[in-house]
Amino acid sequence: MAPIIQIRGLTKVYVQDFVGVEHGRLKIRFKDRRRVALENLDLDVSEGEIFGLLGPNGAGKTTTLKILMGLHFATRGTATIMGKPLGDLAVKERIGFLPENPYFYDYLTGIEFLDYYGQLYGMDKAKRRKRIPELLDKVGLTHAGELPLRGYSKGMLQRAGLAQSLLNDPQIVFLDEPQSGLDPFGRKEVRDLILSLRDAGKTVFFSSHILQDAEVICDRVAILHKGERIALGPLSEMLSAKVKEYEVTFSNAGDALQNKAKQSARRYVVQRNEYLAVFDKEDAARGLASEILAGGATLNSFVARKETLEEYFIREIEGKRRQEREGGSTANSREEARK
Amino acid sequence: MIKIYAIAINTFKEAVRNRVLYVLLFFSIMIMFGAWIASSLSIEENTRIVRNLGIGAINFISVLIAVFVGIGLVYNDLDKKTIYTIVSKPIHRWQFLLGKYLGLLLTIAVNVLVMTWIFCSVLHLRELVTGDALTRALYPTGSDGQVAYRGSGYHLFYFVASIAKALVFGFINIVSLGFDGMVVTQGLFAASVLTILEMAVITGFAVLFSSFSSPTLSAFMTVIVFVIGRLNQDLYLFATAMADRAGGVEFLSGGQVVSYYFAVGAAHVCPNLSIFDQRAAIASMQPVMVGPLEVAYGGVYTLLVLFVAIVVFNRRNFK
Amino acid sequence: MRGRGNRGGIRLGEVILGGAIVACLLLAIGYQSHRLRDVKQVWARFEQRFRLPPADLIQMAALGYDSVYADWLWLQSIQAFGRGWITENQSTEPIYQYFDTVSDLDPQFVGVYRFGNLVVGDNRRDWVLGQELLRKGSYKNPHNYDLPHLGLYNAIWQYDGKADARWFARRLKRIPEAPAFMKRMEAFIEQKDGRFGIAYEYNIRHYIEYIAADSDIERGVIQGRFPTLLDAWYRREMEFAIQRFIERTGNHPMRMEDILDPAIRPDFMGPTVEGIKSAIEQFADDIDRLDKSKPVPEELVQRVVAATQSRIVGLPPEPFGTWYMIHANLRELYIKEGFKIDQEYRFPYLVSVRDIFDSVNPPMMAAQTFIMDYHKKHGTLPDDAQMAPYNLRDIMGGHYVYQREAPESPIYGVFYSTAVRRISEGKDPRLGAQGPGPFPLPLEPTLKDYPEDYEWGIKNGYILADGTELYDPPGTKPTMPDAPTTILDTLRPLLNP
Repeated sequence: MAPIIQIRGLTKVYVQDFVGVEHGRLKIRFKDRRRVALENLDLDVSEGEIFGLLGPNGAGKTTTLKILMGLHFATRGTATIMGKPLGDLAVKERIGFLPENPYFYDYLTGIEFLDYYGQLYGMDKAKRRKRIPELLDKVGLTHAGELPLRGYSKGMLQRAGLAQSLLNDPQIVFLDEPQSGLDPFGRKEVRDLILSLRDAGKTVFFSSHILQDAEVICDRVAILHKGERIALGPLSEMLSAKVKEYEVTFSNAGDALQNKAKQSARRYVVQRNEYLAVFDKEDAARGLASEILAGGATLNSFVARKETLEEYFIREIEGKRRQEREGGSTANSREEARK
Repeated sequence: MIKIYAIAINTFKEAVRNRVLYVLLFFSIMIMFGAWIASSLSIEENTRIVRNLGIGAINFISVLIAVFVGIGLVYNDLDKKTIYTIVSKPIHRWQFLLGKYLGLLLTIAVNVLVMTWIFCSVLHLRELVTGDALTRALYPTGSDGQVAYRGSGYHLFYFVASIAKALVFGFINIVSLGFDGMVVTQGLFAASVLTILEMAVITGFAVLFSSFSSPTLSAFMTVIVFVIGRLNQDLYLFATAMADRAGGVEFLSGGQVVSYYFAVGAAHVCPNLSIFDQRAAIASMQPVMVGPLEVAYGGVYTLLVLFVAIVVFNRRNFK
Repeated sequence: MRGRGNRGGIRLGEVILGGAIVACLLLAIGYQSHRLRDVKQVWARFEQRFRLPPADLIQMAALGYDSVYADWLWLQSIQAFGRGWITENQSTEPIYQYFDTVSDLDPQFVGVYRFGNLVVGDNRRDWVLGQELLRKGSYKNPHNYDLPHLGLYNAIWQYDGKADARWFARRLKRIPEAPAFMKRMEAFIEQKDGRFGIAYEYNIRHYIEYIAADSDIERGVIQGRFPTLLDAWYRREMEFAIQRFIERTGNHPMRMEDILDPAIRPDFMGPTVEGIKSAIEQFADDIDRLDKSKPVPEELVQRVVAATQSRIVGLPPEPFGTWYMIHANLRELYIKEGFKIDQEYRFPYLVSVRDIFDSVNPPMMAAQTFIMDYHKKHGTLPDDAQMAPYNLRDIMGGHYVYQREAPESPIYGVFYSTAVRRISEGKDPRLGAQGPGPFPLPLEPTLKDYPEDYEWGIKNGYILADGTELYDPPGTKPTMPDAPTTILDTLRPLLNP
């Protein structure tokens, strides 16, 4: 099956203005005006999956989305959505987009706002009238439909933004940092919504720097760093399947037990009256656990922890940064040598 | 089409929420009443002075609206990134720009017509509460030829009734497209239509500039185009006079050659806004009709400017 | 940061800074007040010089709001005029330049030309520049007829500029909107300039035009013009004759017969009222066939003019139906005192009866007022003795009659002139309209023709035994207060309005 989104060699180079403000100071630039935001990105997203584009700030996630949405033009490379080149109106009719920290006309009420965007989709009046309450219900804004957007909280705005991206019942939904700025409830709601979209057979392409959420919902992810793709694949493949460590938490333990745990564990942490011991080997962990049970203390949990996306991410990025730092330090030393 | 319409209407809604607009409207009303007062300083031609100042005020305020309200409208969408959600919708960029332009033009047209309405009412009111009409109302002649005096309590009533009457008459002038046959407001509607045509061109430039630069810069450039447009005959005369004095273009010095070609070029490129300036004639009650020349010139120029704006807009990255 | 920074007290530095700010503020206010006083001086100097920058510079600065700026200058000029300094100690040239600039800013601002003409021309008597403003206004406003009309009026009545008058008249003729009376002014100018033939032709053209256009009112107006024109024409011919008579004899003519000698007053070709009437009837069909939208063909005008001409022999027929005569009293005054009524009439004693016809009224009115006042005061009518001072001979050859219990006014009585009554009843054969005309009757009125007046003349000593008639009763003078005592007094308001 052909990928629903196909990106080949996508490169974006920004040429900065001669005059710009940098760190609060006016700066006039003559050299080094080119900044590579995205370099040779190849991606395939297949239908029906939740694809996460991950990376730290400035990695090129938003640039990718902007290019896909036709807001920016790629310097090099091609991308197709549903087999059509970018900017094709037929394609735009079947996709939805939620930008990062969206701003909408704040004088419109929720309903007016959706109605306006419905008109932009070319929906007729009857259809808009039917669709808007459904969507408001879906994103949980039914109570606020008559309020102007000016009075919306950040979470409500985000939900309104989601509603507008779903107006046309799109086949692909592009979400740029959909969970940023939301409280845990909001994040959970968005997460559930994304999952329900997948269940409805939609493709979801989203960018995020919040890894826990991505980990929970993504089928596949790509990790970007400074415009380069440093990883791509299904999460299950990316994270090693083996258990990384064993955690035992217990309480009401006597000094002997505590000392034993302290000695045998790789890491030992005391939290108020709860104790956490981390082991590399299953046997040692099991041993402690059985002693806890035998010794009359309370065994609170016994967890076999696998590697998280966050750990993977930090590992990869840190590796990259270290490489750069070394390269940078050589450059520095060269400069010093010149002096 | 429905998409352009939706954008235009939304732009209009956005503009009428701008407080600057109401300040400007209030300002124009102040000028109109000020004109009334100023005209009383004259010994004759009082009507002309009221009309002239009023028509000038309507024109000037519309320029301010076009420049200062108009430029914010496109820029706000870019600055606050509303454009992200709009451009990702199934519309062309030119549709967005055209919608914005039409919404802006609608805003200006509505404002000009509202100002015209108010001004017509002011003129009618002026007729009603001064001179013969006032005398006739306060000292009516009965069927027996006797002149009576309506008590002072009647004055307030007459004044309020005059305001209502003036507002209705002014409104009739607008809905009849100036063909209400009233001498008092003769030609005002034509002046307003010409102003709207002029604003169509200026707004086109405002949209063009704000499609690629910051509001301050766009306002500055739009004002420059406006100034050159108002002066381009003078500019051309200035350049040719300079060349004539030197005895020909080839005798000009280096700096002069630059300013010569700049002046001649600007005079040709910028719109000739004096085509839309019939205000003096209208003020002195001469019959003025909006001819096909004005409409065609304004239309073609606007289309040209919008075309350039669309070409620029189609190629730009939204930050 | 010193430790004292957070304390509540005031630091010395703050005091100094505050003081400096206040001082700067005071300095600024002082300077500003100085500047404002300067502005007042600038204004005063502006008043002195009263100069504006060239209009094209202002036009550039005004950015298309030239006419609004013109309004501002206009208001300024009116206020300045009101304060009087436009006209005080100013040469007219800068004032002219001011209005010239304002009218450059808005050439359609008609008021500027009018007001400028008032200030420069009427007020400062500089008609050259004043009329120049009107000329400019006429060029810039080709449909405005007020400006050329004002120019024409000025040229005729204010400074007798015939060339200017003709220029404005030609201008008026080209303005389709101009009222008919303005277009007819060309005839008036020529008539005033003594070019009667040309004026007559103009009038004939207008007359034909209006007949063709069926506009009765205008036709009536022109019809009324012909007698005036012919009257002036004939008078001039007779004045030439008088001049010739004086050259030959060294004396002023006593009677009309003196100048009717063909050697002194040769026959001339000219139109007459009768001639005009018959000519118009003769060409009625041609006139009816005219195309109203086109100007009257020159050829038809010439034919009509030719048809109206006739040889005028002897005394010309007075076009209003009375007759010309030489007024003995005025002649005496003229010889004795060099008396002149008007430059137009070189010999004021050459009058028509129509001239003096109205002058019989003032004595009558005075007497009537006396009777009414007397009646109010005493409740009775004055007796004949009290009315004696009014019992004069009137200059038409009749006399005034006091008729108590008159049918017209049984309460107050009536005072009337026998001559006027005769004329109003159509009994006077000397009036051409009703009678056979002045000939072969004597050329001056005489009491002998009317028995009633003749008897009265003998009784009151106006007719002496040898038949000589006197104008003033022997030894008596009217004693009425404020009543005109001489014919000169009665004539002056009539001829010198």
